[in-house]
Formats: sequence, structure tokens, C-alpha cells
Amino acid sequence: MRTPLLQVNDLTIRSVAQRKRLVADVSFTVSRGEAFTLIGETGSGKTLVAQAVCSCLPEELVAGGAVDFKGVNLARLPAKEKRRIYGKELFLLPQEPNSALDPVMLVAGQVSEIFRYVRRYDPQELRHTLAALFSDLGLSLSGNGRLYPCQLSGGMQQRILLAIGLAVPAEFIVVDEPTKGLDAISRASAVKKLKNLLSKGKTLLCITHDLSVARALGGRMAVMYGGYIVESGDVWQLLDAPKHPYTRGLVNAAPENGLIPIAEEVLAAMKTAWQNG
Amino acid sequence: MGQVVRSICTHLFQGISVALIVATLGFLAVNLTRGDTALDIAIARYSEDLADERVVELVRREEGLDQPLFVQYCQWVGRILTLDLGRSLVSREPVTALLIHHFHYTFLLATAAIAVSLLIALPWGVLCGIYPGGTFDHISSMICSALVSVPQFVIGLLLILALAIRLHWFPVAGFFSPAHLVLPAITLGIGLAAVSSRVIATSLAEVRGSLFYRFGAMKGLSPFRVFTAHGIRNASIPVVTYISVQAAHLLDGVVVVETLFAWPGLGKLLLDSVLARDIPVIQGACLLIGILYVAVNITVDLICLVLDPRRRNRLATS
Repeated sequence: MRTPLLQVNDLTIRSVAQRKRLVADVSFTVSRGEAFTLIGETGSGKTLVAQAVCSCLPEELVAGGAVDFKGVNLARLPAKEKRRIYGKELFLLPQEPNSALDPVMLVAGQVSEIFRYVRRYDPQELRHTLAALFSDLGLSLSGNGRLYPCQLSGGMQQRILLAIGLAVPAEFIVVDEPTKGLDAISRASAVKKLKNLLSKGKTLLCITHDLSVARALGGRMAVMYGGYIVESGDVWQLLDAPKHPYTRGLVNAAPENGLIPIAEEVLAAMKTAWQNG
Repeated sequence: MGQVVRSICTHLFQGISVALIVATLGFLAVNLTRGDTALDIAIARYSEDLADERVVELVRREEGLDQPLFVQYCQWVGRILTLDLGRSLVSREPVTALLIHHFHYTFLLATAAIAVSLLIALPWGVLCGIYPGGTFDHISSMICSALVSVPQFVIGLLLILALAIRLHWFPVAGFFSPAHLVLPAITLGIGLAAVSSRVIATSLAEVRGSLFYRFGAMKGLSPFRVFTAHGIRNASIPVVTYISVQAAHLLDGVVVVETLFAWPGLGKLLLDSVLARDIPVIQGACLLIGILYVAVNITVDLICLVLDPRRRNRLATS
């Protein structure tokens, strides 16, 4: 048994203003070196779980339950201690490249600042590593790197964000929708980069709505619907023999399985099950 | 680069048009709202006793005031284009020289006032922006509202009473040494700082709340690094725009403060010439103010183009 790096117990996220529970009773563990995929449709609460794991939820939301990273509850840590962990041990790659990238800084600078100020590379080493990283992602340091985010397409911005994800030294990386807005080829290459991270011994928590990403990463996964985890387990087992009707629906709804919509009665049954607690 | 040059040219063209419109309005305002201009000039030149009907008619012919308004206007525009703004009716000095002399004082005061306001507003606004919604921010907000609602002459009088009359630190009024600049600059600077500190605080708080700023911390950068690399430039864009608006207002001449401290700026010149019905000076001042507004606007747009790549991009793609 590998040691759990992240342990989430009965995580509940509430919106104080709306007096609403957005995520309820979410529990899972992620072991060192494994990939864990959290899958679900838009609005199922998976991004909130990612933010809660990194203790960076929007201020109007309150998290209950326990999120232990290396046995420490991040939510209880003072800001100064959290800063020591961010980027170095734990990292969240957000899903909106358009707002995650600084609009007035050259994109190369936004990647290189990690090598310079977090990893403390010397200038020559930095330039070398940066150029290698850019070309690895099909970008050019002197071309795309000398542009501002507003001059890049959404897919290019996503790649820059991925470059940042590859640059940080953190051993545990949470990626939120890493393939959003990418074409099929870039998607495959992005997934490959994530697998490279795994082979370097890093741990991944991947948030996605794309079943093929979960398949490619392997490891374990959990399916979220309406703020709950409906089913979790080994990726292959779960996708080949889904037990829960919603997971079955999700698998059938994938493009490669013919885009069969999830049956209304499944969703209705889940809604009633939920209202009954 | 070509876009920037094109943008400057467009601005210049717009600017010259605006300046001409402002000057035309000044010309029309003076000519339409007043009684007999020739009589006023005659009185100003030869005193009220000597200005009889014959003299007034002479002046009217001499100054071309018997011509139709349109002809007068064309002659006036023609003179402007040759940079001849005429002579003051009162002092007989060339208007251009008068404007340059007074603008020099206004410029001094405006620069000093902006410097004082930034000295106060920058640390104040940054502190409020770092802890938005905190006690300090709330108290500051109240102080600012209070300061904005106090008229400038009250602040000025209080400063004169305390620092000039009681403590004898600074001279009461006039313009003979740098020390004379201090009180009017502080009077203006306090009012300006009250508003610009709020602009700085709001802008900074907004940037600090944005995803890219928080993402900087997530990358593992120190708070200082995040602030200098991602905070300052982003937060400065609205601040620069706002401070330029303040500068444009100051360069017009600040009538109240200039009058209070007997500061010989553009505002005081304009006020004196309106009271003395010194038409060429009024018209020249209108033209100068129009040109100043345009110049400040072009400068701000250029600074913003340098600061904000999104604007450059919009310009390039438009």
C-alpha cells in the first residue's frame, strides 16, 4: 500500500450567500505517484473540489470536512505556511488560461519566473530549460514567447498554462480541465505531457469531463454528479463495468460510444435519492 | 509601430479640430454675449471720459469690428494660424507672452500639486488596496469623503492660518521663492490625493482579486514578487488615466487656489481678463486650454498604449 499523499474526508462546500450545499460528503485518497481523475459534467462541483484541495476556494464559499495534504490540514495553516507549500509541493493549474495569465506580461516571462524565482536557476540554465520546454510543447521562445496573452489563441494560451504546470517543482499537481479548448492532436500531446509528469514520480489529480483523458492517465477515478461522488474505483474497471446508472450513462454518452444521452429517469431517480438525503 | 504612428496622427488631427472648436466657441461667446466691444476697448485704452462716440467709431474701424462677424472670425482664425494672438487691451503686452508667462506658473503649481498628491496617495492607496474592506480601508474611505467635500479655499485658509500666520513656516501668498509654492501645492494636493488614493486602492484590490494575481502565489512566488511582477503594472493603468484627468484640470488653471494665494497662473489670468473684458487674452486662453487638454489626452493614450498590450492589440487588429 502506497502512502496517501492527499486524503479528503467528507468534504462539504457551502455557499453562504445562497445558503446552498454545492459539494457534499466527498471522500477520496490519492497516493504518492498515482493519477486520480475526477470526472463529471459542468456544474458537478469538481472544480470546487480541486480548489478546496488546494485551500483556495473563493471567499464566499465555506468548506467543511477534512482535506489532509501530507497529513496536514491546509485550511488550518496560516497564509505564510501555505505560501511555503504552493508551487513547491502543491500546485493547482486553473482551467481559464485567459484569466490565469497576466494580461500585461510576455508569456515567456510568466513561465520563466518560476525557474528564476522559485527554482532559482542561473540565467544560462534558465534560458536553456525554457527553450527546451517551449519547443517540447510546439512553441517557440523567440516567437510565441515574445507575445502577450491577448495575442494568442485559446489553445495557445492553454499550452502556455501547461508549460507553467510542467515548470513548477511541486510533486502534487492538480490540473483543472487540461484539455479544454485543444484540438485532437494538442489534446493527445497534453495528455502525453501529463503522463510524463507521472513517470517523473509526480502525483496528479486531474479534473476533467473527458473520459479519454481518464483512460489515458489510468490510475483511479471518481465520478461526480450534483456535488456527490456517485462511484469511484480503478479507471479501467469502472469504465468497462460501470455499476452506477449515471456512470453507465456517462460512458454511453462518450463520442466513441455513440453519444447516447443519459436517460432522464436515471437523472430523475438520482434527484429524488438526493432529496431524501 | 505603424499603428502607433497612425494613432498619433489621428489624435493630432482630432486634437487640432477640438482646439479650433474650443477657440471658436470662445470667440463666439465673447462676441455674442457682450454689449459693444469697441466701446469697451476705447474705455480700456483712453479712459471713460475720452471715449466719446467719435473715438469708439475710430476704434471700431481700426480693430475691424465694423466688419460682419464671419469676416472677423476668418481674420481671427487667420491670425491664429500665424500664431499671432494679438495684444492685451489692458496691458498692451502680446497675448502669447502673457500666456507663456502665466502658464509657466500654472505648470509649476500643477506639477507640485500632483507630486504632493502622489506622495500622499501612493502609500495610502496601496495600504488600502492590500487590505480592502479592513478597518484602515473603511476609515480611509471616510476621511477621503470628508476631504473631498471640504472646499479648497477652506483647506487653503486653514493651512495659511496654521503654517503661515501661526508658525511662520511658509509665506502667506505670492510667488517670489520656492517656499511660496508649498502652501498652494499642499492645498491642491490634499484634495487630489483624497480621490486618487481611492482610485489606487480600488484598482489594486481588483488586481489582487484577479485569478492571475492569485495564480502568481500558486506558482510559488513570494508576495513581494507577485506584487511587483503582476500587481504594479496592471493596477497602474486606471491610475495613470485618472491622474492625467487631474493634470488636465490643473493645467487649465485653478482659479480658487490661484486667487487665494495670489498665484499668477492661467486661472488668475483668465479671471482677471474676464473681469477687465480683455477679449484677446480670453480668446487666447481658451485656445491654450483647448490645446492643453488635447496634449494631455494624447500623452495619456500613448502611456496607456505602452502599459497595456491589449490596447496595442486592439489597435493593430482594428
